[in-house]
Amino acid sequence: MKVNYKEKKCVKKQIRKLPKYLPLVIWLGFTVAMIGWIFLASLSNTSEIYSGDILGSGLHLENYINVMKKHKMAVYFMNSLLYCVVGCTGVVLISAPAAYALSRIRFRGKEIINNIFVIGMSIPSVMLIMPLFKMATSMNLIGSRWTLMILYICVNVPFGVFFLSGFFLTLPKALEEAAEIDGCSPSKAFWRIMFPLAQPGIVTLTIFNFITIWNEYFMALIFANKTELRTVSTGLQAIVQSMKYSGDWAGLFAGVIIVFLPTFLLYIFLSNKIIAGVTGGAVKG
Amino acid sequence: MKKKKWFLIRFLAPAVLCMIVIFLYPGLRTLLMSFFKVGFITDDMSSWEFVGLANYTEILSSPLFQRSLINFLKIWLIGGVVILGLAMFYSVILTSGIKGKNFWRSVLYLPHIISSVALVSMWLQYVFNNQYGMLKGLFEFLHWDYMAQFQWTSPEHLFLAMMIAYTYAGVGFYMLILVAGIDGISEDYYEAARIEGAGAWKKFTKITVPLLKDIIKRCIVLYSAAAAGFFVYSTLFSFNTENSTVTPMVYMYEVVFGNSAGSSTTELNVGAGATAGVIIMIIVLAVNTILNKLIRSEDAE
Repeated sequence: MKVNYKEKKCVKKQIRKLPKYLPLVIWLGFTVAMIGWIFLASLSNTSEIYSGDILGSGLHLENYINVMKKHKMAVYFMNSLLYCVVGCTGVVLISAPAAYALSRIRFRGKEIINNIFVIGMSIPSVMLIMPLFKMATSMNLIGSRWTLMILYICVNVPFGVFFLSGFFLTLPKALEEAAEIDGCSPSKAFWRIMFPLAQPGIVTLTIFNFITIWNEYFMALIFANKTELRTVSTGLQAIVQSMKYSGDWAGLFAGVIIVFLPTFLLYIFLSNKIIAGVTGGAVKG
Repeated sequence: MKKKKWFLIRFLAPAVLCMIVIFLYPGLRTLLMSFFKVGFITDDMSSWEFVGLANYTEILSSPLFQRSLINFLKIWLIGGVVILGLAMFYSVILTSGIKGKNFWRSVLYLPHIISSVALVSMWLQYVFNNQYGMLKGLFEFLHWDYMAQFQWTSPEHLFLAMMIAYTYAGVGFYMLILVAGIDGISEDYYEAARIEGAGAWKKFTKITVPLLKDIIKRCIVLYSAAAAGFFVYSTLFSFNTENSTVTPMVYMYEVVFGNSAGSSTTELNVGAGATAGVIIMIIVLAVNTILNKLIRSEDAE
């Protein structure tokens, strides 16, 4: 009798909780319906999309080949990959040593350097873009991939320093002392001991920067002004513009999936790390 | 000692140099530029012509810039209330002890990691499409004929469509911050409130909100910066010449780089673009200062 009563209560409790799940289920349903349809449409042909008969004539994988070759998505994809790899590596190589020095070593002028970072981070990109364009022109860098590679490194350095500082602070002080006693120079101690220990933070930062650079639009729009230099974002937008005339909607959806897939796959496998990075970066700061 | 100095220089110089070259110098140069008439973006400083505050009076009286400011206000106020409200709503649900919290949290944050261009394409080419679109299909199925006929991408509805898509993309980020904040509140408060017989609404207004004050403030600051720099959605949602979605940042882009639709209405003046940038920055700073004053004064009481 008693057990039965408890069970009843439990079921009641679950039913009472149902309205809580409703907004979540609506969100999930919408997301799955939208992305799922785009995926299926990318495998259909354009007339099927218009008639609502998705996948009516089987799989059309040639949409992907078309958008890769004819619409140059392959070029944009490789460009974005290059910008991401160079950008992520550069950010770590520049910001990890700085974060280490700022978070663990006492020296005069630290306040000033900290302030430079804080002020720099609060300047919106709209204030930077014009002088940067001028600088790139005077250095003859317009029309070269170097511009975006350098910019993507530099623009993400402040967040990298800020994020990794928090990480280095959590490592025990005894490590450096031991290294010093053993006659290890400070920079050797950093690269051999502290840098490997900070790996979890570095990995999180790198995933984070990868997604940021992959999805970046504003700078790519201004600095990658030639077809060969475009990133996936500006490239996809160019494809959208051209679709108004070519009308190859299935190809467009294939392009959307190609741009969407890399960050989505990263997210599926590493969502906890990414989420920890966002909350760590935004709440602590 | 000398060794330490050399070590510090090697470790800090690249990052500090990057801050000065990429952030501080351009920031100051743009500020300076806003007081000059500059014909082309590549002009040297020597050819700039000092005009005092003329750029400011000029763009503040320009109808397009006024429109962009009104749009900014709409995005900031209405969008802010809706996005932060929804983020709060979902974060309260997520922290109320539901099953699969991490899964639902990932689902809500998902739009934020998708490229804006890809996401906007999904909305414009599928969800809002007036021939095979998702919303059209849904409303036809429900026999809501008025809604099924609704032209989402016509000039007068474009702004609404943009805000819906932007809300979908934006909620997850603020939700993450709020969830982390609520998770940080000690369970004891809620336990005590439960014993005292407080309902869910009372718990929310008397415990969650007051204890989250700093985090809510941070969300508003972050949202204000995002609203001031609103660019991608605005350009992607502006395929007619009505400029109904123009924002200050888009205005700057058109004035300076002017190669998109509607640029014929604006004369190229790079100084005015710099002025728009400075105004955006002033808005962000003003919002931050006011928020800091407001929240601090409440603490003092």
